[in-house]
Amino acid sequence: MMANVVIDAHNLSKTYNEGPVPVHAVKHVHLHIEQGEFIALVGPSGSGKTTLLNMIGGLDAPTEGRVLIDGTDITAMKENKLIDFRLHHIGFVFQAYNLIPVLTAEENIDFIMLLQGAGKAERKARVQQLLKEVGLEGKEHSRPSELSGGQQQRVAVARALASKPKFVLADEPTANLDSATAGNLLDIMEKLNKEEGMTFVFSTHDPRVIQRAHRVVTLEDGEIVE
Amino acid sequence: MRMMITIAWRNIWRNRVRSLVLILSIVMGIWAGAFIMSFYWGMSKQQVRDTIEQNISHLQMHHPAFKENYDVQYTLSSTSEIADKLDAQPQLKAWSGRVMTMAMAASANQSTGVTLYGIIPEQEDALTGLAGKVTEGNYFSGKKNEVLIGSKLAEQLKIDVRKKVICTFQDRDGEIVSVALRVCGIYQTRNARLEEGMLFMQQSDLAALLKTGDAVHEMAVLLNDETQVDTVVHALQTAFPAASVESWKELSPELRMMTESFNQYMFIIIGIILLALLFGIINTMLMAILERTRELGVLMAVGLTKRKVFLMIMLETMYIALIGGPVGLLLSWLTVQWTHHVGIDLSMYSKGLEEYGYASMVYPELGMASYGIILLMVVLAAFIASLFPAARALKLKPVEAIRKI
Amino acid sequence: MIYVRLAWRNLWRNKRRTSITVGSMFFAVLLAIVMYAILEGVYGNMIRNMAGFTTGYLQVHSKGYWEDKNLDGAMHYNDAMVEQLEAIKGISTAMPRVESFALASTGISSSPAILMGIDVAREDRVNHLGERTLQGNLLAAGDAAVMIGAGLADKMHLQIGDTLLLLGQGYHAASAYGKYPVAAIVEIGNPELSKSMVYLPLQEIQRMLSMDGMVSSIALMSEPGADIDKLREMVTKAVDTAQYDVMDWTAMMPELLQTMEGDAAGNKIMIFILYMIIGFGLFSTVLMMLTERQHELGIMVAVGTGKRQLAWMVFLEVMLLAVIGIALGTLASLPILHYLDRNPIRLTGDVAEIYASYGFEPIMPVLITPEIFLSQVRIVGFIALLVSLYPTIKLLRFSVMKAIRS
Repeated sequence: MMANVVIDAHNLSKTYNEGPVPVHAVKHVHLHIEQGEFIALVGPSGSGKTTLLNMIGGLDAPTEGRVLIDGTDITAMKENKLIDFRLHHIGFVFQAYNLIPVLTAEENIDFIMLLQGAGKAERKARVQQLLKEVGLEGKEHSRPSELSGGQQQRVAVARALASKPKFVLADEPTANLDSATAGNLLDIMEKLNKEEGMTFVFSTHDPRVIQRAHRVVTLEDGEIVE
Repeated sequence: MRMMITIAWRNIWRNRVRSLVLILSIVMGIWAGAFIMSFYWGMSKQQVRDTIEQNISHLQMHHPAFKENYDVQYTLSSTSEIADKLDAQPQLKAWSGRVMTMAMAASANQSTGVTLYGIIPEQEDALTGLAGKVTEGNYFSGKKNEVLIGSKLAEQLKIDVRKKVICTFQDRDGEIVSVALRVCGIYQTRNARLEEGMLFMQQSDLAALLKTGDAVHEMAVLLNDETQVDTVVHALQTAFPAASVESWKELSPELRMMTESFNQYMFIIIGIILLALLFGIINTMLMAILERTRELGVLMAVGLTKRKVFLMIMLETMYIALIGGPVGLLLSWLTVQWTHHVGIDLSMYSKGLEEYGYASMVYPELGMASYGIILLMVVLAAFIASLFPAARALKLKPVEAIRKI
Repeated sequence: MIYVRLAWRNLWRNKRRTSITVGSMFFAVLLAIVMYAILEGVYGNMIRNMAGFTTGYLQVHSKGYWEDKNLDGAMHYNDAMVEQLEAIKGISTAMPRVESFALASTGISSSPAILMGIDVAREDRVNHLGERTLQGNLLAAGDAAVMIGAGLADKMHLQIGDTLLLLGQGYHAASAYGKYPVAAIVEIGNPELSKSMVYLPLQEIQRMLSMDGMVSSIALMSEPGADIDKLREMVTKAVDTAQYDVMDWTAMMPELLQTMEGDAAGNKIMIFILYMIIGFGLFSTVLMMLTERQHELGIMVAVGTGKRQLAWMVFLEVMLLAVIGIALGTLASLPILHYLDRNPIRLTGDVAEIYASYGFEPIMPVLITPEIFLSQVRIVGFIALLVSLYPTIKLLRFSVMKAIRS
């Protein structure tokens, strides 16, 4: 059975012309990611892994090349359409500042679903389910400031999954966490990957993540190396 | 949408002190601004009321040429018909017919220019309450050649009750007439400027001296309902085309202007206050956004449209204004209610005020419409203030914002 | 001085916030300066107008004359006296005058009139009678003729050359009678004065009223912006106080003073509110500056900066904001004031009529005195001082560990 290619990055390049010298962050990268993958993009700082991740997620426009998400070319999409696409099809987990500080854990997840236009009953059920899956039952009414770093990241994961996206992009999600908490978070994400077939793409230089990844793509100076 | 409202509201309170300082500044500014307007309005209203009741009445009628030089030959023709018509008016409260001439009033030591009014005592009293203003001596008793003078004039001429004052003037034919009048009483009003120049004597006495017969120079009318002034003026003018009928607005353009320009004045004062507040609002809101750069970046990455972000910032700004504005107006309303009841004493400035006819107690008041206008101005100002920070928030690019993480 | 440099640079770390805060003060200072200049100008004009035509800025008259203003209280005078008064520094002109009332009549119409005997040359210098002459020629000292106000001319239908009869009371209640041709018609701003003013040369009125060598008073005019109190003292020293009184216009026309003060009070309250709001804004900025630098300030103290020095630095930041605001506001006001000085705002329409009805020219001139700038410096300085109290106190009670951890 041919696995579904959910992310098709074709000849991607990104050059920044901000300073006197142009910076070639990503150079002619080809990448196929299939559904159900648990993949890590690794490399030292400046290797371009974050830039590549951003382009895959439609946050940054490539200077050259195309990105197809489940067959749809998002490269030339207009901004508003792109926002809408991200809302419905891509989940994000960042290193920090994921959550809206003034909303509770429950409300944070609920909010995304509201944006998508889900109905009240549907939202309520899913929020409960998601919080359970990340092991935060009982913390529904806590604001981010009342949660630990690890707990915040778990809510972030729950929120990323709320929209039933095609895949989740995680940019250095464990950077601010201690070993135990990081391990915990990765356990949850692995579980989701195994049980629900959710695709996870990490950008990281955390060895704990690299260890757990099923596939590792190494980047050096903007190019993929073997 | 409802979520946006909730989020915006909660965002304000993230930095409680900063928000409260801003809200407090709005409260103080609006409170002060509205109170000043109520002070000014209270003064104006009273000034109008006083001037009408004590001086010019609601309307006056003259021979068209009379007001130019106060020449005694220009009496109101058809005086008696006018009197009849006035008596028939249902809205009428009181009227008084006056014979007038400019004159020299002289006492043993002094002489000065005055205006001599020949009145029918009961009529004039019904119109301006003249009898009640007599502080020394008595109102007219009916004896010949009695005169009522103002206290300021009595001071100036150094005369008292029962003393004589010699008045010199020209009669209808141009002959110089001199008459000795006995002071029967001294009156006092709040308007020194008027007092100085007005002497009252009995109409029959003066008419005889001027040889003006039954006609009068001036008819002053007070109505029951001041909203009817224009209608009555029009009716009288139509009935007596030969006469000049003027309402208080025409007789005293200053008064009319004072009431009509109130709204303009309010726009300017409140406008300046809001302009000053604008600096603070924009500054605070800009800070509130710029410190949330990353958070806003994540929101936009995750699926919040630019429109929603704009809306959120705008709502936050409007909340601040919608708390500060109404609280300020409420405080102002309370202050107005209290000071209206108690009155504000300006006796420190009383001499100057009296000279120009202002009372020295002020009773602030402000119409509901004015509060409404101020509130509207605050909302509008908040809206305008919110545009700049909200637009600034939009300029944030999610990528750049996130790169900062 | 390192602290001044530090404070200055710290301000510009957040350009936007500093600019907006300075902007708010700039706005308030500019508005206040221009407003004060206009107020001083308008009031100065009013006083000059009123005083010039009636009482003078200062007046010398017989003791007790002012109470009843009776001709019997007239004073002896001579040229030497007038010159002596004019020699006083700050006095520009001394105008001997005789004032009385009379009935003016043409035979057909009559009207009460204010009779004013004047030293024509001096009066012209002060009130520009020559410029204000609409018809006819300015009187000469020896003429036996009158100059009348335009309002009176209108009222009594008088033309140049017509004869005016004057009936009045002279010195010691002698009856006075005069018959003079109208030599000039003069435009006098105040409509009430215009309708009643009759000018005669001093010699002529003295003759008519049987008071040779005497005048009612000597009215003194000063340079604009002069200190009335000081002048009054100097004049009092120069005259024999046993015989004469010296009064200033505030004593002679207290209503005018009060009206102006009352009006000014209203405007000053506006400015006060404005500054109060600006003060809040300044406080808010200072608050933000403090809270976001907790960590950094903590490090500074840990590394060796005393708390006092820290407080001094923040105090300087607040004062610098104020100084920049005042400086910019003042600088911006200069060209505006300069323009208004050359082109005073002319009032039109209803407002102009109102001004005219009270006898004031319908323009808003500016008077630029050092005080208008100094008063803003004082007020803004005071606000800045007040606002700086909060950070100073907070910093002196600073907890270093807490700050570093934030």
